[in-house]
Amino acid sequence: MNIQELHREAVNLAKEAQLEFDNENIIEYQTLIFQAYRLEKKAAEFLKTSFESEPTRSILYRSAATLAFKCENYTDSIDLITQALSGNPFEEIKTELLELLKTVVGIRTNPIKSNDYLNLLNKRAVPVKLEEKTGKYAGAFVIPHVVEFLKNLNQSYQSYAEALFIKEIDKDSVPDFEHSLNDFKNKSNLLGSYTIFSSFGINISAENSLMDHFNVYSKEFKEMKGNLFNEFKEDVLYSNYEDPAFHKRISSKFNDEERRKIFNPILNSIAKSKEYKISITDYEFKEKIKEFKAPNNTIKQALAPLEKKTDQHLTDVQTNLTRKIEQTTGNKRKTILAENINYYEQNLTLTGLEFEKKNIYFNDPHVILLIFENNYYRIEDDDYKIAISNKDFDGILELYNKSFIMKLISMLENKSNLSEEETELLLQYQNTTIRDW
Amino acid sequence: MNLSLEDLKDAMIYFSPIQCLGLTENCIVALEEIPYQTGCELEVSGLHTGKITLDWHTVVNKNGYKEKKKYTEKGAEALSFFLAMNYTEYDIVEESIISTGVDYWLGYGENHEKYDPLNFIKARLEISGILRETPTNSFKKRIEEKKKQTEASDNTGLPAYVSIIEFSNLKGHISKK
Repeated sequence: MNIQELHREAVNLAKEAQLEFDNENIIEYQTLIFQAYRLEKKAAEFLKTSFESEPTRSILYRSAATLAFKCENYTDSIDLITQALSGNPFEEIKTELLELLKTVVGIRTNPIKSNDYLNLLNKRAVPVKLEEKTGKYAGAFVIPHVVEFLKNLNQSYQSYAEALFIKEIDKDSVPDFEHSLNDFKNKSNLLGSYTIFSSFGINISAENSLMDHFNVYSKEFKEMKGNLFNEFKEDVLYSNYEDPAFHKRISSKFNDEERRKIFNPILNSIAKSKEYKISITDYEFKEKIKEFKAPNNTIKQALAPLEKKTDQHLTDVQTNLTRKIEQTTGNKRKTILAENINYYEQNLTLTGLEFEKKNIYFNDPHVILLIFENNYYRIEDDDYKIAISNKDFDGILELYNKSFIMKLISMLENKSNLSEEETELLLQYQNTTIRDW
Repeated sequence: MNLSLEDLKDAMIYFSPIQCLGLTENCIVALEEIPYQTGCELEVSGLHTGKITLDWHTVVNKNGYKEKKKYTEKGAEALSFFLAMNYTEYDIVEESIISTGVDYWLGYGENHEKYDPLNFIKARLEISGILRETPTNSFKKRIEEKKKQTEASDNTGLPAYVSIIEFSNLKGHISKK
C-alpha cells in the first residue's frame, strides 16, 4: 500500500472503531483503533524526512498522534507530535499539534486519567458518596469504612451476577455450567471510574464485555452480560428499599437465598450501627439523588430473609445424636451402637444469631464445624475466635449465640482499650455481620 | 446544472459507497424536512454564482434520522463535497482523525498532473450547515464571519476553503479562506 492507501485504510478503521465505541463494544473498539494507529503511524513515517510535503506530513503525524492517544500510548503520541513539529507545519496545524501535546502531557502526568474508555464507563456509572456520620473527622473519611463499603458493594454485584446467570442461562448451552458460573461471578467486578477525595465519592461502573468467557457464546449469555450492570443499578442501587411494590417485584425475581446474597452486603453497609452513610449523587457528588436509610426489620425480611432451612437441619442432627447417646445408658447391645458415634462431626450453616433479643446477621452464610466427641459437643470457630463445649446439643448452640454476641458487645464497649489483635477481630465481626441493636 | 444526490458515491471515489449513501440520505432528510422535493434549486455563491438543480429518487426511511443537528451537518457535507469538487481545482476529499471527529481535506486526484503521492493533501475544507436560519444564526452572518477571518490571515496560512449550506432557503456558499 502507498502512503495515501495506508492513510485511507487507517481512517476507515478509525471510523469503524467509532461505531463500535458508540455501540459500547469496547473490545472491538480497542482492536480497531489500535489497527488504525499502526497504519497511520506507518503512513506518517514514510514522510519522516520529506519536510517539503506540507501539509500532508504534519496532518498524517497529527492523525497518528491522535490515534496513539486514543490507544493510551502517550509516549508514542508525544514522539509523533514532536516529529510533526520538527518539520515545517503550517501555523494552524502547529497550533493544533501543540494543543494536542498539552492534552497528552496533561493526561500522562495527571493521576486522574481521561480517555475514551473511562468516558464510556463514566457515562453509565452511578456516583456513590460515603460520608462519616460524625463530624469529628472534619470531612475526611475513615479508610476501613470505604474499604468495607466497596467490598460489600462488589460482593452484592457478584451475587447479582451469579443469580442472573443461574436464572437466564440454559444449563445445556454451556459446556461446564458450574465452572462458567464461578468464572462469570468472579470476573464480575465493579470498576471505579472516577473518584473524589473530599469525603469519598466514586463513580461505580462495570464493563462485562472485557471479561473472558471463552466457553460461552450463546446469544442469551451475551444479552444477560450486556444487561447485568443496568439491572443491578435498577434493582440494587436506585430501587426504593421501603417500597412494598419493590419488595414484591424483587421477591418474584430472586428467591430468598439469592436476595440474601445480593442485599446482605448492602444492608451491612447501611445498617444503623455503621459510622458512615451512603448516598447516590449527581455527577459532581454534590446533590443527593438517593440517600440509603438504615433498614428496618420489614426491609431486612423482604430483601434478606433469614434462612429457615438450617434450623430444620439442626433438629435432624440433634434427634439423631441424642437418640443414640441415650442408648449408651441402656443394655450391652445399645452400648455398642453408642460406640459407633463416639466421634461425629457436622458442618452447620448459620445465617443469623440471637441472644437476649439481640440479633446479628451474617453477610454470607457462616459455616461452623460442630464436633461430637466423648459425649461432648464442641465448636472451635477460628474466624470469630470462639471455642466452646457443652454436653447438650441445644446448649452448645445457645452458648455459641451467647458467646458470639457477648464477645462483640464486650469489644465494642472496650473499643479504646483493645489490643491490635482484638481490634482486628472486632473489624472481622463488623465487616462480616449486621447487628440489629 | 443538474446534480443527482445519489451520484455522490461515484464522485467520491475514496469514500465507501455505504458512507456516501449515508451522506446522501442525511441530505435528503434535511431537504425533505423543509420540505423540498426532487428538482429543487440550490442557489450558489462565492467561487461560483448560479443555480444547481438537485435531484434524488431514494425514499428514505426516516426512523433512523431523529437528530436534526446530525442530519443537517451530514447533509451539508454531502452538498459541500459536490461544491468543492465542482468549483475548486481539487477533486478529492481526504479525511484525517482529530480528537473530536474528522477533518476534511482537498487534494488532486491520482490522475491529475499536479498529483504528488508524497503530498496528496492540499487544502482544508471547512463545512457548516444550517437547517433553518435565524437572525442570530443566518447564512449571511456566517459568510461575513468567514470573510473577516480571511482578511485577517495572510498568504502563508494553510490553504482552506469554506462551504456553508443553508437548507430552508436552499443556499450554498463556497469560497477560499
